[in-house]
Amino acid sequence: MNTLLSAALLIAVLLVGMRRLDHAAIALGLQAAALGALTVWLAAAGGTPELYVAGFLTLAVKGVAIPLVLLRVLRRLERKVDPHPILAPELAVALAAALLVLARAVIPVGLFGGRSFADFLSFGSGMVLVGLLMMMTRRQVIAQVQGLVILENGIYLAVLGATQGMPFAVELGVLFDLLVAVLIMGSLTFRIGTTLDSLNSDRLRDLKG
Amino acid sequence: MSLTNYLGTALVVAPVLTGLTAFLPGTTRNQGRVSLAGSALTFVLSTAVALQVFTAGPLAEWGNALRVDALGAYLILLTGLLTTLAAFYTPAYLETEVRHGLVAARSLRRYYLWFHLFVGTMFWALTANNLGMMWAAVEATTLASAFAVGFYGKPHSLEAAWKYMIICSVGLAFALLGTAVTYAAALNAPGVAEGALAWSDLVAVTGRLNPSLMKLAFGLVLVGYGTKAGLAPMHTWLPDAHSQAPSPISATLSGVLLAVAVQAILRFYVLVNGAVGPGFAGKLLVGFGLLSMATAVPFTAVQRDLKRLLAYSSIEHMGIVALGIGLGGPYGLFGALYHLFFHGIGKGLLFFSAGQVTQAYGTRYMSRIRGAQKVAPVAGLGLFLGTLAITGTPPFALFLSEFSVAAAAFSSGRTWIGLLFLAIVAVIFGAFLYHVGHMVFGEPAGRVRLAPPARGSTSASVVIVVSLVALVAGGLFVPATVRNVVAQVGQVLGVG
Repeated sequence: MNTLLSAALLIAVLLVGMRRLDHAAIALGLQAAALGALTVWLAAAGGTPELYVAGFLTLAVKGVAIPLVLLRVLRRLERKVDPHPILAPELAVALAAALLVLARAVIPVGLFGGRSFADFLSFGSGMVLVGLLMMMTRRQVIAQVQGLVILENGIYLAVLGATQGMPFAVELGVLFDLLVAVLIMGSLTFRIGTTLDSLNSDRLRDLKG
Repeated sequence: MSLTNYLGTALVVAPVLTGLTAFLPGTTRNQGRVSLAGSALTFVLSTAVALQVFTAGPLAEWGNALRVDALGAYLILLTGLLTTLAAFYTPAYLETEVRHGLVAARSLRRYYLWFHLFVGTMFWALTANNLGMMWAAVEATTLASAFAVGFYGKPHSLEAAWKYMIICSVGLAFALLGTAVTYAAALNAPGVAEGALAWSDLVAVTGRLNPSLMKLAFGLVLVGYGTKAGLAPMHTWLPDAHSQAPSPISATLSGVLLAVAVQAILRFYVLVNGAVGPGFAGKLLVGFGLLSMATAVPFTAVQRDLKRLLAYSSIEHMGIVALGIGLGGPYGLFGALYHLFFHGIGKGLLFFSAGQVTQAYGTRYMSRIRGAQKVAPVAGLGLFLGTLAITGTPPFALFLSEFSVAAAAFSSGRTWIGLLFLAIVAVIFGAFLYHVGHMVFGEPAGRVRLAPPARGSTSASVVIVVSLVALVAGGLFVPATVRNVVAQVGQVLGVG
């Protein structure tokens, strides 16, 4: 279990510094696979049968479908590298790691009662922050979408820790929404790329006041 | 197993089917007809649901997964009314846009698809009993309306759509965390049914929910749904989205979608009040409310774009609603609820009028719009009277609601809050009237496009007049039925 959790966290931290966006899409898939495996492990350790389904759905949607969508958008736009991250990759990675440590220290896990998994909860919250960091320190729009997916993965992990997941119907709804959101953002990205001939979100700062 | 047992379900499904049908290949005129017929059906269903709830109590379907109480029914009524007006307004509006070469005729079916899906997701959000499903529905409203916001496909509309997607998705992620924390509180509470995230179950056991967890949950939820409701400082997507979208979409975003987000906040407001007492959530809402109102002031004063002016007004008004809820008590909640409804109608009226005016002049820049009352008489009048209505002038309905919010502040001894509220409302009144007065009166300036009145501007006129009548009626008299309805909503919120 600790191996899977460490893998998910390590990927989150590395993703923040990854400039090759196609590699990042695959890394996101691996991260989701680790989360899916964690869910199945929890299910086997005495969770509800629905937890198995949630684990496999996470694997299918976040592990396979979403990375494929991201890769397809990148291929159609013929752009694979984020040219100008706001922070140097090394600095971004260090900051992300610091955020995880910070979350571990400050999240009041005790509030959530005995049946929670403190590590999932605190590191999941940390991953939410890492996702936010990535969204704020990248100008390339696809990288921002990837930050959002990290953020969602962090929520998933935290909720898994706090309550062993949301009720099954809700998990389904959340997963469906995320998939549609990535599809729509992919389509918008494509239009932004063709209309503005750039994927730099600095080009999207005209509207003010 | 008759249809009346599935009224709520039909209300959610009807717009979705309408959108899919209108998306089928066909002439644009037929697509417009499908959209209109579907909206009429949706309107009938929304009225039927509201009648049912207000006369016979909450509606429950699918084993209570779909539940409509008085609060839901009240906003369903608003949603049904305003989206039907928007659908009635739309075909002629789009026809003019096509004639001006702003959109291609073949892309109209996509507009109808997204518009009706958007309406369907809002009804879903208003009827979901499970707080997690409500979250999924609110997120779905963002997804369905993103393409509608970016419909024109120009750089600025794409920028607005992108910001809207990103900022609202991140904001709503916090609401999801807040929902999860609520769920954790329910699981940890003694004697609460396993797996309970249904609002109607939770509201019965609020006293047993862990107060610290519920405070954390409400903070997260307020940031999350507050983003969607356009509360400052999370409002930054709103002026872009509301100004770049086609005008009937702007009307729907401003008039209804913000109210749907406020509804989500209200659900958690009731839970946290039950768990920790009334002070906590109220103070937060008063803070966000005043901040939103104050944020709108400078942007209203120096605004140059007509639709952005209206968008900042929406931020101000969601601030007033949050302030009313936060002040609480019968005055505060009556004011907030009444305001929520008539802000929807008033802002719809303004965006419908602004849509006609901007089409006639071919610009949203207020400095280039002069003498609108001569160029587009009904829309010019709508813009002017709508301004009086939205700034809280008697005899319009928003005067009553703003008066009530002020009364809530003064009667509870919070004089400074009341004075600040009145000062902001007065400044915005002045700025608004200055901008709109210049546009409506005077002589039309040189470069007026003066499109020949499209066949449809009749439908726009009808929509404008209907909204005006509703605003005046709501301001002049509040019949016993309306008082009864608002009292029922108040009961859901734990007042009176």
